[in-house]
Amino acid sequence: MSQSLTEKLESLKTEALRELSATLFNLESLEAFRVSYLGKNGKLTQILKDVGKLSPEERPKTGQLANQIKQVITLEIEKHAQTLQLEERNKALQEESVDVTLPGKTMWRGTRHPLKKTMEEIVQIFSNYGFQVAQGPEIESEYYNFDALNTPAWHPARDMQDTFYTVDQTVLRTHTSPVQIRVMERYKPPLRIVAPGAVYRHDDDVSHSPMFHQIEGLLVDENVSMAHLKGMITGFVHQYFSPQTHVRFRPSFFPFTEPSAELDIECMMCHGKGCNVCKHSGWLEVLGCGMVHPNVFRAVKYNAKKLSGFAFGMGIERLTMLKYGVDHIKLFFENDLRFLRQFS
Amino acid sequence: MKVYSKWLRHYIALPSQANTILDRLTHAGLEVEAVYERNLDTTYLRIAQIQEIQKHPNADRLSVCDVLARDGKYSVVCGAHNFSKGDKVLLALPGAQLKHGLTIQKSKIRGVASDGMLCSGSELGFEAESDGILILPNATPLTSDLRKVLNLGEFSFELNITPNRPDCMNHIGIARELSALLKKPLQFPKIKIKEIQKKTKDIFKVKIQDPKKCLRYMGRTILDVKIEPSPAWLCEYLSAVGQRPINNVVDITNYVLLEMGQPLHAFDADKIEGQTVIVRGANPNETMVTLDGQTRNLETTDIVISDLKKSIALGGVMGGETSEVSQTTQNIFLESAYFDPATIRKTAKRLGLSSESSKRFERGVDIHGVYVALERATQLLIEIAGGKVTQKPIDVYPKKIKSKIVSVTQDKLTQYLGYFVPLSTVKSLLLPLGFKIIPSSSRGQSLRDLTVSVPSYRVDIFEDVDLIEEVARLLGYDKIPTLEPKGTLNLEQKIESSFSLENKVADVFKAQGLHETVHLSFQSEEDLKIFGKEKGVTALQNPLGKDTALMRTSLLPGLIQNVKRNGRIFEIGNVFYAKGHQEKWISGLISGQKNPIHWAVAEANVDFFDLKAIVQAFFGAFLIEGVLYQRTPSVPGYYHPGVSCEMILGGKQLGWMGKLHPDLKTKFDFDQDLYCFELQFEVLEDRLKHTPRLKPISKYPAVKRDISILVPKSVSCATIQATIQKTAGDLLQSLSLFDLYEGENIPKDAKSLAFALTYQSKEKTLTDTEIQALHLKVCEALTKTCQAQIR
Repeated sequence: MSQSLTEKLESLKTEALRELSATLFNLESLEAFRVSYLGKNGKLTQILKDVGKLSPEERPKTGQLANQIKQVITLEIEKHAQTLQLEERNKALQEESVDVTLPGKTMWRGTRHPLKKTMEEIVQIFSNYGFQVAQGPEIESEYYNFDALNTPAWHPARDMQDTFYTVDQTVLRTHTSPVQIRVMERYKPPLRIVAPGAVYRHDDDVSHSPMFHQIEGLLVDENVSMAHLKGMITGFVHQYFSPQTHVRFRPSFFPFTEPSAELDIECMMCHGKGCNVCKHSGWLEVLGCGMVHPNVFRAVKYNAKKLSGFAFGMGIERLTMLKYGVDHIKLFFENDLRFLRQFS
Repeated sequence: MKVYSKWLRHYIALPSQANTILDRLTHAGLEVEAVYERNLDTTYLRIAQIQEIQKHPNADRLSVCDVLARDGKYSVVCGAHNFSKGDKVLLALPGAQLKHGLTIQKSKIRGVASDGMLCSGSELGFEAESDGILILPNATPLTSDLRKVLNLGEFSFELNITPNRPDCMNHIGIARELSALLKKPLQFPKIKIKEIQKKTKDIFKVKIQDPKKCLRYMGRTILDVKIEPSPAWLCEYLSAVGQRPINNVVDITNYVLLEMGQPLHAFDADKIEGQTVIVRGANPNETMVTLDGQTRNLETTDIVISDLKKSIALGGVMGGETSEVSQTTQNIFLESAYFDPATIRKTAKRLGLSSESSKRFERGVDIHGVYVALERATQLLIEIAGGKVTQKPIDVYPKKIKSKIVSVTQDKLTQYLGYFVPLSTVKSLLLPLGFKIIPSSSRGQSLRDLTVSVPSYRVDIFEDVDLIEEVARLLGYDKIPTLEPKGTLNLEQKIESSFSLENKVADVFKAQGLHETVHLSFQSEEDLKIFGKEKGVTALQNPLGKDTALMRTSLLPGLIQNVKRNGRIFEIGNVFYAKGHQEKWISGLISGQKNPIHWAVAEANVDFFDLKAIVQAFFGAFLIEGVLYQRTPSVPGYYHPGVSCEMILGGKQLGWMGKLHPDLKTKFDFDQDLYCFELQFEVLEDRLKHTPRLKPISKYPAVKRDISILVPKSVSCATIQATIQKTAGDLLQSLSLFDLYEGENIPKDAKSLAFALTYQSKEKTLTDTEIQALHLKVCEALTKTCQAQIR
């Protein structure tokens, strides 16, 4: 024997490791490689057949070496296998990739109507001040719509609101103010209510819709002053538009408030400089308000001497138009999808 | 109401800046709606006289005018027709800058050269709209100073007078406001009349038959007047406020109306039979021809002014043809009266006759002003129309109206305004407006209360809050502090409303991909025929049109109008039945594609179960269980009878859903099927408000079992489910249908259904034996109750 068993083992190790690093394996050829070295009839087993020929002193030493070499080779094979597995997995993942720019599956997307959204928003603002929502019928008696609101029959103030009459001698309410009366008849002061809803005027042109929406507000307590009215309305405008919005109150007339006021806000299009939207005045009329007229308290049998309060009414369409830049009131009732979608 | 600054200057010294007074007026409650400032560069403007008018050779509506100005002759193409040869007009030459950026250039109009333009009032910025070009007084020399002729530096403005302030519907009223605002004295016109010996009462008689309708009637006779065109100044004033001059007598009555607010009427005294004026209610079936040539049918509530034989005027509204002042009129009977506001308004409304007179009478004129205005007009008639006036006016004033007395306390004033204004200041504010202070008996330095007598023209002042408003507006609302409201919230008192629920419901339908819509609450007779209910309808007396003559009885007509372009919509709104009975409904419509177009989703159209999915998702969102879906004849006829159902909740009819009837599909011209649902809000309301109580979650294992059955087609899914539920009882934790088959391999009149059942107990782990026994019981029940074959 030209080579000792130990030398044979060492050279087997060297050969195996060289082959491992030099060959491009796949998982299959790697397994074949393993078998060729470490299998039942592998090269290592072949060498070990000669262990019996060794002296008893040499045997354990050689056996130990053989095991060591087996471990080293096994470890190397496993390392290779791991790399190969990772590569294979990566390849599989690569193959599964999608075009992430393809459109996702869509659901129908719904929208809330801008008028209803505005109503909800305004009611929310007032509910922060302790106002509760009240509602009333849209077909009203003349009593609730006019008489109880200090607007007797044949009073010229009735001309301020062109009225739809039904064949039953009732009216389509011209404002949400009758809710004031209905609430005061049923509930005791102090009161804070807002009443959103549809109202009707016999008017149909470019800038008027025969049906539109209002929110009425009413606060009744003792010692309520015009200063409180100004504070409340100013606070509302600041929350609905922006805290920077300038407001002005100017005297006006409503039969059911005394004193009465009209609230203007600085035109948001021109910032008060004057433009077509504000008819070159720099101001936009936003809502009407005033101190509750004692005759209204008398109509609901509230103590007009002891109580005072304020009321206000605003057009939802107008407030929505100003906030979102809607230039045409009819758009709200056409319900065109291209319009509705812009408010979602 | 249009006001002219030059006219105002008769009564008050005005500051030169128009803006200062206009701003003050707006902030005192007299909103200035428009301003017309007479402010022009006159370099390129000329006074011109029309010398020749010829038709434009190429345009029917145009004319070519030769005009003479101080610096020569010009030829101008003109589109107006309100002038004739010899008239003095205003010519703008090339280079002139007029209102609205209008710059005049030498031009050719339809092939004819024009040296300039003949101007209208609106082109000069004097008024909003003009009816033809401006005609100058004929006596105006061509070389006059244009600034004087055009009254440059003056301005007019449009005021929005609220219905409570008839006292401001005239120049003196506005001057009075300005006097209080600017703290400048008010000059009232001096009235002096020289009467002749003859006594009015000897030649004229006045009788009021119904003193409730006519509270005061005054008259004067003016003899030997000469009817002529009015002098230039009167024409100028009237034109400046948009009134067309007619003749001196009519113009004077109009002038006094606009000066003092008292409507006057001049009758031709010789056409009044028996020299007697009777103020009475109209007779049944009475008719009269008013000044505008129209025959009016009168009602007994109308006020008629008549002589011994015939009616001569419709009191307070319009004069009659029979007594009209004409070119030949010599003697005048001048009427100044106070008519009951409501009576005038009724007549004016009914006849659609809103005149400058009726507008003032229905708001309430100044009962004292009845006298003053009569004297003022008489004076002007003498001066301008050369009349002679008989001694003493007739004054029938059966019940003298007393001045109103109103008090305000310092406490109330401070409390209402939110800041302190001493009553001494209030006094000085009210005095210029004509209020008189009633001396109080209280002593001491500071006033506790103030009592005033209200001037007769202030028909809006009744009680303390009205005085407080005067103080607030005269000082300006900007003086009032801004305070957050304090006080009791009173939240223990809960006010009922469905508002927040409606929003929650809408959010759920939005999440189902539906667009919320708002439609007008009107419908047509045609809509009613289709969508009407046995509960009737409310019709309008004065609808805008035939299509909107009724209040809607269903939300569907509006939704159907819209669904073509929207596909998936809903509305929450009120519908109305007979006698205005109102109900809130939630209705929706879907049609077209089941899903938005997508590369990985097969295209399909919506069907009944897409509709039901939406409705059930809504019930699910509010944890509403136990809705029954029934095919009954009570489903309205606009639904497809086979693909629709009634929904019942808690024994009450909740609404319907289904496919729209094929006939309507054709009628409304749809190519796709429409599916709609209608839910009555009030039936749902309690369930929407319901607060759920938590049920314990079982910690024991759940066991799944499937069941597959063959049943006759006539057996409904609901029956099968009810049978399973009833038999399995509390141990059945869930039940879902996962397969339905009809067709080949099973009998023609049968269907196959497969359910997945989950059994679970709240108290223990169920044994196999227990489950097996229960499942068997379910199968037996199905066989017995539903003629099911277990497969």
